[in-house]
Amino acid sequence: MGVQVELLVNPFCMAERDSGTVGEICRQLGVGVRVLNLWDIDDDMAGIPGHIASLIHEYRTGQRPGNLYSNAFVNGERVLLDRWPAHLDDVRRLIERALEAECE
Amino acid sequence: MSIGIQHITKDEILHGFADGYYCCMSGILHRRFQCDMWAAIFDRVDSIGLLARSGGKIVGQLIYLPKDCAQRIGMPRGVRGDDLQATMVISCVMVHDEFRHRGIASGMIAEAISFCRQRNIKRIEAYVDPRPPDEAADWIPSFSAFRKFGFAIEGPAVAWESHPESRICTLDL
Repeated sequence: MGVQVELLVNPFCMAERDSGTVGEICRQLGVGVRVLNLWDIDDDMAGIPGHIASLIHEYRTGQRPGNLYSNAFVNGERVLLDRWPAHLDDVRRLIERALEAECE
Repeated sequence: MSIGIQHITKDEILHGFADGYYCCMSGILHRRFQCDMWAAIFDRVDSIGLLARSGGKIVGQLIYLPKDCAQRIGMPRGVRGDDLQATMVISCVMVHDEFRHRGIASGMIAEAISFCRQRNIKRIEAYVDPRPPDEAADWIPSFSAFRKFGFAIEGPAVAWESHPESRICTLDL
């Protein structure tokens, strides 16, 4: 099945930085990344993985405070990209752990 | 040197604000991550915000967008039942360090309010740090910048997930 990495981009502010840096980590570790843009996602969430759809729903309904940062997911585990650049270490660590688990 | 405040143009959104000036809504034609959001908002509203310049150099910016667009990208939902299309969100106010305390933020906020009145916007919303300016986070505007224009804090709801002290303030027009 492979390691699933998704990047939910918030296009307000750091879209280019986040897509570039997370994409580069994935390239280095040999995993793919699916990039989704909040601006392009309608409320019906058609085709959006459940863990991402529920997060978007929480933002849009006010169940969760707002955000202008992007979110990364590694096998569904969320990393909010709000601690530049330390959050990149978290993304890398999660991917490496998932790759190790896959080899066991 | 005098400060000029102008609305961001469609050309600046597509091609860039200025050489060496990094801002995500600037220059989408030159970016690898292409998104038409700011251009689409400009087409609808005729503006996405303001730039303050001194001697040709950008020294401040204020960005706004309609609340339905802000909510689509996960910005704070707010606590009141809103007419989303008649609410404008001021989502970013920044002034270069060496140009602070010269009334630039106030000038941009005043211009934003004037623009919204002309466009029949009924409410303006902003996300602020209510603490005194010297204690506030540096990436969120201080409430003191908005209070003088009649903005009021909308209760205890946290505005930003990453900043528990942040609050929503509003001005009914």
